[in-house]
Amino acid sequence: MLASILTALVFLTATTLILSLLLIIAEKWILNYGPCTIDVNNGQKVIDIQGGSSLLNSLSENEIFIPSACGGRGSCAYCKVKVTQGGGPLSPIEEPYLSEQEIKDNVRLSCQVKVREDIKIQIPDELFNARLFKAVTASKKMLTYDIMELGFDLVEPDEIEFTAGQYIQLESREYKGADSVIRAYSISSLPSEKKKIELIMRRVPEGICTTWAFDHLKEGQEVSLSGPYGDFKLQDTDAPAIFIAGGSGMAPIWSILRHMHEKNINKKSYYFFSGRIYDDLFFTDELFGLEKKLSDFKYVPCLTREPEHSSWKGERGRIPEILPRYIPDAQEYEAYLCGSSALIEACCSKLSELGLKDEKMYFDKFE
Amino acid sequence: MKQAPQDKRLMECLRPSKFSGSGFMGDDPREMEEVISDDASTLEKLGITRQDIVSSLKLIFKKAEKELGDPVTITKDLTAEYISCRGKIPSPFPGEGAFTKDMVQVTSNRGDVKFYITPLSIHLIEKHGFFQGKGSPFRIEPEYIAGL
Ligand SMILES: Cc1cc2nc3c(=O)[nH]c(=O)nc-3n(C[C@H](O)[C@H](O)[C@H](O)COP(=O)(O)OP(=O)(O)OC[C@H]3O[C@@H](n4cnc5c(N)ncnc54)[C@H](O)[C@@H]3O)c2cc1C
Repeated sequence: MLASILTALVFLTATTLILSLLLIIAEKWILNYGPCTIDVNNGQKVIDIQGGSSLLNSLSENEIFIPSACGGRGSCAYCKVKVTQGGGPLSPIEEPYLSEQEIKDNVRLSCQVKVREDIKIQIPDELFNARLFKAVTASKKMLTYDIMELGFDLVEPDEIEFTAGQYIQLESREYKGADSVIRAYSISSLPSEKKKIELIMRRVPEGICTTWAFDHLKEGQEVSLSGPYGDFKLQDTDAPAIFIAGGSGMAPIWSILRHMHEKNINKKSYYFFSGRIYDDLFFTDELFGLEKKLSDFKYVPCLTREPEHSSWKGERGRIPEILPRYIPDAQEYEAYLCGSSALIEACCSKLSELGLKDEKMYFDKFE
Repeated sequence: MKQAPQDKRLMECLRPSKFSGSGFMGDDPREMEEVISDDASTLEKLGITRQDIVSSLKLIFKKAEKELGDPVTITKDLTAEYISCRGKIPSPFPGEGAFTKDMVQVTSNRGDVKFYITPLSIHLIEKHGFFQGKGSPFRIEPEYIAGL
């Protein structure tokens, strides 16, 4: 009896051992995809890697930073890239985040694509410039009751190259049980001020990153950020421009307008900024000051709820109602919009009525 | 009872995470299924459907959104105000896509916040009957909406 139990035990242990050994060998030989290459933008950069990791990680290990907010869980859908060869089949995790057109165009979530063979991908050129930065919080300044300007001095690397209108991704630190998260913020400083980054941030009720930045981040504290990202920028044309923003949407426009001044880019332009009351406005003196510095620029702050008896002499009402008075025919213009999706929608629809073509309306594609 | 792997993954997604600082369960000790079925019985008792609630929430959201941040009166004592936020938040239920982070804050005339409406919270009620756990800042009390 004892002998047969012992034999069974030995048999079981031996089988388990052999199976584990087989698994280890299988992992080493079958799941080892060996050396693979990632060809970025038709040979613009070819990266040699050891297969097996996600495309997102393989790229970031080789200093190509694709924006991502969820750390590779396949749920933020920011890390889209075009995979033209070798991406394997589309996974069920990716499908809900891709439009029919994107699926046709071979767009994939790079965090869900495993590099198992040689891969060819297409990414926007500007992603080659994105870097990971260490920076020190230099200043926190309240601009309105819920909007703050944040300044960072870059430490490592200590300079950034970006185009006015682009954004960075800021990493918050853990606080009071909240995870460290990564969120996008448009750069409000000038491209020529290479050693610093300024942002304009609006507090979001119950927001993880904004609560951290407003209530926990201290001047002098080190932070991590990456970038620059995005293709929201002034087009290289002579067309007159309409800028439209509200709240923290000021950030990229503030950078673009001052860049225009610095680079002597003279084009007829209007800037419509939406606020409720006078206290929602900021950089007001500076923006009216730009009217004198830029050759044909007009700043039009529009207030929707400023008390009637106040001394406000500017426009009262919503931008879509005010636009036609300044621009009855928008055919020749280009429009640059930054703000809430509702503001963008309402203004784009009015601009269409005024003759502006859809392809001449620019805003960040993540809206 | 042992949880199925999908249930375990879902429970993890309902906790405070990189996407929702407060999570979806608040300090509610109940399981998500209990929250859903308790709220469903409340609706039944009140004689209204989940769809009625969803329609009201969508209407308030649309009305406030159209005002681009100006407060709109929704009852004698309540105003709704659209707060824009760029970016998207994924549904805690895997594979359901992401929703804009814009929100509508409903406030009493005395200024205290009564509840928030977000595109994600409307989706969770519409698709799953999930009003969120007690203590979640984004829970919408069915009785409260029914009373409006
Ligand atoms: C390209 C780009 C540029 C941007 N630039 C700027 C900028 O210049 N300035 C700026 O201020 N912002 C900017 N943003 C927005 C910014 O990235 C963040 O999304 C924003 O600051 C909020 O981050 P948060 O972590 O504080 O909020 P989060 O915690 O990410 O989100 C809070 C929101 O999530 C939703 N939510 C959370 N939990 C629940 C729940 N249980 N139920 C229902 N809904 C829930 C609610 O809608 C709530 O409002 C930009 C975004 C993008 C994509």
